[in-house]
Amino acid sequence: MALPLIQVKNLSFEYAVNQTKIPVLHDISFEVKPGEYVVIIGHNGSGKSTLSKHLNGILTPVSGDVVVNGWNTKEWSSMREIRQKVGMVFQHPDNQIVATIVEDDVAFGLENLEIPPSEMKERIDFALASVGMNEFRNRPPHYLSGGQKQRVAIAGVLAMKPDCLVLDEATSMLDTHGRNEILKVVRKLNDEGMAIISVTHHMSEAAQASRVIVIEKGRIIMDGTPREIFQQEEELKRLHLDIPVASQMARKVQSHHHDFNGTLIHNDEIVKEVVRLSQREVPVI
Amino acid sequence: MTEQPILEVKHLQHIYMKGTPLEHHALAGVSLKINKGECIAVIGHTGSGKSTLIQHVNGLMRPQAGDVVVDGMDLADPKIDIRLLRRKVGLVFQNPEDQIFEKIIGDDIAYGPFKMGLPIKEVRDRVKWAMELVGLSFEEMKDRATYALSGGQKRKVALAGVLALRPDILVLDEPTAGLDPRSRNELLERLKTLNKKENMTIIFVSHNMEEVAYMADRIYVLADGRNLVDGTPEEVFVEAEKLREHYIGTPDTVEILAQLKAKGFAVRQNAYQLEEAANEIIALL
Ligand SMILES: Nc1ncnc2c1ncn2[C@@H]1O[C@H](COP(=O)(O)OP(=O)(O)OP(=O)(O)O)[C@@H](O)[C@H]1O
Ligand SMILES: Nc1ncnc2c1ncn2[C@@H]1O[C@H](COP(=O)(O)OP(=O)(O)O)[C@@H](O)[C@H]1O
Ligand SMILES: [Mg+2]
Ligand SMILES: [Mg+2]
Repeated sequence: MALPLIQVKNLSFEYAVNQTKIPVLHDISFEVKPGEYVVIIGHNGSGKSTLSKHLNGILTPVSGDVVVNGWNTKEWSSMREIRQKVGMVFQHPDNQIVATIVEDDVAFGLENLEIPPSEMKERIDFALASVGMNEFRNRPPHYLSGGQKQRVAIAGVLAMKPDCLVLDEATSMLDTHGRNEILKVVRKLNDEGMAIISVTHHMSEAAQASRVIVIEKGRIIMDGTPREIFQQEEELKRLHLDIPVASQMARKVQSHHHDFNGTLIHNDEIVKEVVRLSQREVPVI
Repeated sequence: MTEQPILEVKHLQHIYMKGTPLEHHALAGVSLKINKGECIAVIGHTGSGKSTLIQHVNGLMRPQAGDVVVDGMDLADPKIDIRLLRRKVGLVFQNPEDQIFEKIIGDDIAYGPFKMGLPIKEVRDRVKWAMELVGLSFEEMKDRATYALSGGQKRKVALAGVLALRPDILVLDEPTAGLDPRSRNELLERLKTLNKKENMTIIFVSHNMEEVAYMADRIYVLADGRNLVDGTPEEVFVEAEKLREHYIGTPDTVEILAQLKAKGFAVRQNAYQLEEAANEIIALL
């Protein structure tokens, strides 16, 4: 069994606003193994971003611990190692863009890592190519469209080659095509062994993961494979969530046609199922 | 019908950083014609010019070339009453943080109606109405600090601030990005009611094709700062090929039907509503 890359142990957290405390996370425990692809879903304000920020020490627990590759995030001395292991892309790209030229922005994180210039260039090229932003490398990032900024932010983290990439709604401003492109990149990185933890409101995106964690009011209330999770339509709707369009289709078709598999969650599974069931007949052209 | 359109855009052009090496042609001749009470979606690949276009509608940007006429007001005329225009046209930005200025949620949403000189009771009623419309509990949230909010909550505050103005024309740049599925569905339903019952003209930019299919009477598709196609959802989604060429996705339902067609099944390509698409499959089995 692989050792966990990230261990979250009885994590509780509250924000302090003026004199009042806002409790947000309650006794959360889970582990992420190297190479896992985890999606976190939950309604607005349920604590997803707050939890994500704990995974590389941007926030530290009020009680409990987060341990990354053996380092406790409460120990400041390991912060650099932790940040290099676990890269984070925020919900809002403007909060992440620092330099005045795209290329410099992507290079920014690398400058602290003492990487030789030739490798630095290689990494920047790789990162920009991965997100399809090569032709924008000499543009000022602040003048890019929202989705373009989001890609630059992702490139900045990819250039660090972390073991784990945390994406907090990193595709929320992308168009379908842009999102699919990023998801392709993410899957490729995951295939090559990078662990992915991604927060999203897109259920079809959650269906891509190997594991889905559902948060409500700062507690984990479901944890399983996407197929397991998306069978629980009623419960998800109660939690302000939903099931992917493919699942909705599968269920609708199944209610008329009992042979049809109602547990499907991907578009191409629907197509395959139709092919399987119609093999008895010759398709009409 | 000789009805005067409430918004007419003719051959609109916009060049960012004109005369510098970074000069960028964001709009290269876009035209729109929108009647009072219509619900219009603007879609297109990241960077196609959607945000640039809609920032012209409330005079945030003035036409460099071409015309923008809102309810008889010609925005090329530097002497128009910009306050009157802003009262007619409410614009919600792509980035909600560009739009939240006050420290307390209630104050932020009240700001616009208050500046309109409405009596305080009316202001309060409108704030309450707008907050409930976007799914923020008035009692629970009105006194909370705006900086201490989750991404989705910020989007709701920004939306409520503009809805409280009850504009004739509501312009929304990706209004549901970052909202959880329930919040998104509820918001869309309520916007649709405003549109159908109160005849509020709505123009919205979206990457979510399910949402476009649900909301829009008509769709304008932009590519590289130009009109690509426009028409009803049926007319537009049937151009799936053309849309894909310009990196624009179609709803998952259309995606599934297209894959089935490619496998030789006779399915209608414009059955974009879930129910209809499922029926197409049921008919095959
Ligand atoms: N800086 C902060 N100070 C105080 N409270 C905060 C702060 N940031 C978030 N909160 C509150 O903590 C709770 C959880 O917020 P969080 O950002 O983790 O939610 P989320 O699940 O990411 O939501 P969303 O889907 O809207 O992004 C919310 O009630 C929010 O209002
Ligand atoms: N303030 C700006 N300065 C310079 N270029 C910009 C600015 N805003 C947007 N652009 C560029 O103009 C094009 C259109 O942008 P935008 O209207 O934001 O696109 P969309 O909303 O369709 O994603 C993009 O190529 C973008 O990089
Ligand atoms: Mg969040
Ligand atoms: Mg935009």
